[in-house]
Amino acid sequence: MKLNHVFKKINKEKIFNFIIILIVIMLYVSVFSYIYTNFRERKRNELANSIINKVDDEIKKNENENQNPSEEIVVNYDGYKYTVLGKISIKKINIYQPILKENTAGAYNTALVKMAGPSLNSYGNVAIGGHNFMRGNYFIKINRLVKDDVVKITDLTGKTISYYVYEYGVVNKDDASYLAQPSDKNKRIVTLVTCTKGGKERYYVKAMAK
Amino acid sequence: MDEMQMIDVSENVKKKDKFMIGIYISILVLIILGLLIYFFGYDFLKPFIKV
Repeated sequence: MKLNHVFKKINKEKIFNFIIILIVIMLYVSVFSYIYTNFRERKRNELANSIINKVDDEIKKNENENQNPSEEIVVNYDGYKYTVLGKISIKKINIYQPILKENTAGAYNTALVKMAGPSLNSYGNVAIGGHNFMRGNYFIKINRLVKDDVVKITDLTGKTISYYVYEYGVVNKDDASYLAQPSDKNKRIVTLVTCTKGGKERYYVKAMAK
Repeated sequence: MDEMQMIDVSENVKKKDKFMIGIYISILVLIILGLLIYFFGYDFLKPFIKV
């Protein structure tokens, strides 16, 4: 009877040990995945900041030369090559990011991307897309924007226009109505777009220049 | 008399102790390694990290 009891105890101990080993493995995985995510974000920030610096240099150059300012520049950094159109600043949600031309997964992982529409700061509806994961550098917080919040867009000529939020909402991922051009051709509109519900829906914010 | 016989569990206790020491060491290694990589590993690992 006693021996049987000892065997039962040993089995219980084995299960206990297995659970402890599992917890330790999970600890290792979570610590290293946290570090990897952090490093990835650091690198992405470095990349975005370097692009912003190049944008600022180009704006200065365009302001000084004042002849046929370029609408886009190609930026090379650490093996990454992107075409940059300008930058966006939304103070309320602490966004200050470059706007890229490439509509690729890599570009979306790096910064914000012009999805559709005319050139930045020109008449019409310009849609700018961004991821909403990681730590707030993308569009994760655009759902905090409400009516009359300011979105500033600077193009490479150095022209900065303030857009004021007038509409926001959620649509199905197949509904691209937010990309439509305004019927009034004298309106400057910028539409910020990001995914919600794991990509099943799109959250958009529309802002207009006054 | 059978029920009165002593069972030597000292071997089990030793094994258990060794196991727990292994766990403590692995947690310590995790903490030290994690801190080292977090604060000093970025420059070394940067080329391998994809944005």
